[in-house]
Amino acid sequence: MKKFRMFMDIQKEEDWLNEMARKGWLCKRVSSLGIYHFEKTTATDQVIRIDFQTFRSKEAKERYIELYEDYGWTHLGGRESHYWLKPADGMDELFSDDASQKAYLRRLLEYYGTFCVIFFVMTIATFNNFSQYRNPKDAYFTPGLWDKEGLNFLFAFLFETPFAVARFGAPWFFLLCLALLFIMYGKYLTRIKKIEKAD
Amino acid sequence: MKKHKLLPLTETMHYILLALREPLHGYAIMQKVEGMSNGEVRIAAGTLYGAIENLLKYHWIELLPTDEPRRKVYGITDEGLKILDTERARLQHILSLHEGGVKHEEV
Repeated sequence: MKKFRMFMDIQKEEDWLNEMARKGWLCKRVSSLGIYHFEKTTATDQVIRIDFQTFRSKEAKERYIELYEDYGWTHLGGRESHYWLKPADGMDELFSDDASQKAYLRRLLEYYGTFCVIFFVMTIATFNNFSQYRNPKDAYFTPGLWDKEGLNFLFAFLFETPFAVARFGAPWFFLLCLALLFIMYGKYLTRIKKIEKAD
Repeated sequence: MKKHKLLPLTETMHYILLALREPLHGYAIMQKVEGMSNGEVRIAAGTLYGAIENLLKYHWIELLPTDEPRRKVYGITDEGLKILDTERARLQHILSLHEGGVKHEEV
């Protein structure tokens, strides 16, 4: 069974995969486009953990995979988010102290922070052509479009429509992404603060 | 002197440095630390990986050449030993406060 899902919150994603595993659907592979490949299983006592790592070098990545495999984890895939599977045996967490748990959240925070900046810039960069918001016709750039008639108009209009929609919608789309990313950034920050408070 | 980012050592880091006075591969570090701490400290995979990368970055431990290319073996460096000395002094001071604690309060 294949499922497509998109998650903002890595914790929710992990919870979902473990919930699926409890129901007998074990995730065996995660492709980079966010497609989860599940297989039916009777071995429901398995845990999935999602790590978040970027590597300084190819060797560092090799060391990473090797070490986790020595612990009995199986790598299911992932580029920055790494999906790991292991039969439950009491040592089912990836992090055993506050410092490393915090470092994990900080890596996520940095990643989301970077995307916040990118989407902020994209939003600013696409928020132009302001007249289109007063008059949506201005989102159409085809010269003389509104003077055309009949099929001629229809074809030109339909051809330009996707571009007009993109022109009209892009800044709102980027703004929406920015807002969601910013909310997630805040959530991760709260989790870090929570660990710090518990110290 | 500005204190190093990793000082004072976390319990995990401290145990790893102590364990690596003898060359060990990754998973063996975990096993040794578990033994040294009487089963108290069981370092999870992600924690151990992060610690190793951090310690490598500051050259407190190093990769040692081995015959088996698949198994990475680590050992403490001179710098790492110095860090352990610093930490020993810090802990000894705290210990002395523990032991002399009552006398201090009387003064």
